[in-house]
Amino acid sequence: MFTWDHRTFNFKDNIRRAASDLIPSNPASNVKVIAPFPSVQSPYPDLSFVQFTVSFETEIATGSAISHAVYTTGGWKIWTMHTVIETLKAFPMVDEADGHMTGVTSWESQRAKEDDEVTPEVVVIGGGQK
Amino acid sequence: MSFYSLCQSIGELTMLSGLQLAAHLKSLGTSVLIVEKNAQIGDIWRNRYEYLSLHLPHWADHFAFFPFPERWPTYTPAQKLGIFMEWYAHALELPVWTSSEVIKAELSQEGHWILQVNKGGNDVRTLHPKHVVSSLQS
Repeated sequence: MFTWDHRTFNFKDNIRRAASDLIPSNPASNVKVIAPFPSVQSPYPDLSFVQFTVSFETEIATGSAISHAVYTTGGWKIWTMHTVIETLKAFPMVDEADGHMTGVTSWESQRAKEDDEVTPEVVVIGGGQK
Repeated sequence: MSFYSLCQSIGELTMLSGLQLAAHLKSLGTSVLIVEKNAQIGDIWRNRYEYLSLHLPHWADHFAFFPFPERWPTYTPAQKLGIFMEWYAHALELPVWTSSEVIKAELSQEGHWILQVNKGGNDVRTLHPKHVVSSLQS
């Protein structure tokens, strides 16, 4: 959500420095708690955490994050946080098709024609397991 | 916001990226084509050994826009997953050429691709896409 790169930062000082350098250049706003709502999970007797999900946005995208927070002797800490882009603001999703057949071609023949005569902007090689 | 889109990047089926990328591009109004070597979408899983099931529960594996239905088995059998992949392509109306292979790809001076595609073994088509995505088995 915050850069276009995958990078790994290890240890508290490095994570803090990366966050303080990167987040101001692409700040998050409009943070809201969303479903699934916060819950305490205890998968094992010696492990408990609070799971919560938020939505937020940056200048170019809207996204969400699912996090696990743990209470330690040093206070609350984010144990894991997974963020994902949901939409790009400049490229909204197109509406679903209406589905009524008002033109001269049926859905079935239109589908066959679209498949056959497509002029793709993007070609994906391989529709299986990568 | 869809919880499935949260999940899809975590599970073992993140690797079904060609189909899902095509679905996302289509949802944004971008014209896309999948070129698939096998005779049917999903053959890559249909043709695995008969007693294979996925090793992890399916709930982290939902596909974008078209999640597994209610009462889906916990561990998806390989052949069932192959069938689901074909449903996915049909349900989301993804343009697919099966039994087809890219036989030549070069970049033009204008910066777009010139692809020659053997379409179904009986036709050679030339396409000029802006982008080519390699989603081959690795």
